[in-house]
Amino acid sequence: MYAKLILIISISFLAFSDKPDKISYARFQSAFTRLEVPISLLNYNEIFIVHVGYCASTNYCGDNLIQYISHCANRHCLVIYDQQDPKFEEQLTTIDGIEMRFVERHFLKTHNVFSVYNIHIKCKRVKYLY
Amino acid sequence: MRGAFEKLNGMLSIVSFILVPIFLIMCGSNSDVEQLNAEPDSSIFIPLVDTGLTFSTSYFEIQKRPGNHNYQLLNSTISGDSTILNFYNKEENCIDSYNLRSGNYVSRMQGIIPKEEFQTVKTTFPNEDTCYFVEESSWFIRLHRGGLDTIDYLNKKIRDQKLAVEQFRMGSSFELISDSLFFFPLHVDPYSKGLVRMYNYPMTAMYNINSGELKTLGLKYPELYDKCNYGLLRPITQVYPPEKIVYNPNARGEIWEYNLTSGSIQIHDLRSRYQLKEIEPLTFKSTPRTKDMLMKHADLSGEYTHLVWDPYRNVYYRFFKHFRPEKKENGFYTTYMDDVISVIVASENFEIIGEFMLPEPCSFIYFAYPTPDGLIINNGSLFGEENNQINVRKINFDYID
Repeated sequence: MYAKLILIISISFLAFSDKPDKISYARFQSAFTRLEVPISLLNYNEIFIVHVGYCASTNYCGDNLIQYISHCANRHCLVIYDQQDPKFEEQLTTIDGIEMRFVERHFLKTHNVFSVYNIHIKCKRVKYLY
Repeated sequence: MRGAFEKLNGMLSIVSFILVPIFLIMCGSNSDVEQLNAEPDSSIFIPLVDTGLTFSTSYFEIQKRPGNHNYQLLNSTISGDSTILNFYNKEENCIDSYNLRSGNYVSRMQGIIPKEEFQTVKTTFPNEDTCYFVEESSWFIRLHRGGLDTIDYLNKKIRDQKLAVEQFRMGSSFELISDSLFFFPLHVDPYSKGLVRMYNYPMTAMYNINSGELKTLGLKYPELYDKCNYGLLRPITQVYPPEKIVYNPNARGEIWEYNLTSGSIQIHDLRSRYQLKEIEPLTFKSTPRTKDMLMKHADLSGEYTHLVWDPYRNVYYRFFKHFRPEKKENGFYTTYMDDVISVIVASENFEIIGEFMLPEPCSFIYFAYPTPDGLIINNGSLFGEENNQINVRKINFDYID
């Protein structure tokens, strides 16, 4: 009985202690409306926020990330990226249905929406691409 | 029978009462090591009195060679009276050098440099004609004006001895101590497979270029770093004045002096007067999924980013990045550009001579090189917004000079 209780407590503790600092959809939406040329996230079905210089996992980096984004091209998709890298930009600008938008990393940081992870926002749900 | 057992039990408890305090006293005799492992308390420190160090700074910019060169800063060398800054030119695969005194482009060193070697490289320039470099997964190589020599598969030796070179960090050094001896920091990756604890591993290695011998020396990682995880503030940088190694734990107020002759350790308080509270260890588990929280912890906490030994004045400079509030008065979140850095100047005996604030553009430090002309640091963005200049600030200390 006690052993089970301890196990449950420790598992829940581990689960909570591993939670990253999540950013909500509302915070993204409010931040991007403060750009000089505002972005309304509601106009897009799929939004990606890509940190070209950062990568948390090999699953969603480089070519894998390009493939992942290009699969969503038919669903009116916006890619926000914070580092101008021709290798990254050239591969996506040629795909129809993908809109690209450069936003400075400084802006993301001052508005508290910066994350080292690449982010996929879909139907008001924020998904972290680890 | 039962009585005999009770007697034995009683005797055992008496013996343990006597032995345990003796054991504890014996353990406590190594006070230096114990101090190394002392956990931080959250007491408030009282700022030191200003010691009246006066200094002057001057800013100058060097024009880069025409063309859009993608530079990676390598190191500095002394040539005659001048200091030379060396950059790896990624586009042309060579090393470009600039004279800091005249502000002129000096020369280039070309060789058949495999490009990937310079990705995570540590370099040292014993003179302007030679460059030694070591790369994490590759060889120890000498580049000179005549060509390129592969000297040793140094990293194989490091792997064989189950050591790993620390990832490249500006504060870390890789130095030629004499004609043939190199000192460099070691780091055991706490996430690597098969390693449960990182403490008790050596922090410094010595490599003899003539004999090919690699051996460890200096302090071992303190046990404290296993108990207190400082996250991204975990690095312990090191400098190599004659006959000693001085360790700069980035998250701690003190520094650790290791005497190479006697093998003794001395702990010196070299705390910034602007550090009003202890740098706290992580309060959450460090995993690949908590990188944002790790970065936030490192951003907002204070950090002793660099320790520099100045051989020309025989003093130490310790850079302290102050604690940063999360938000500015206007409600926006702060970034690294809002960081404030001060420099503690300490004598050869680690007595604080003074501390001064760096001017506003210096919110992050790429490099800090002591030169005969003064301390040279980057002035904010090293290459400027248009990537056509090298921004440098020179600091002279009237008190020392």
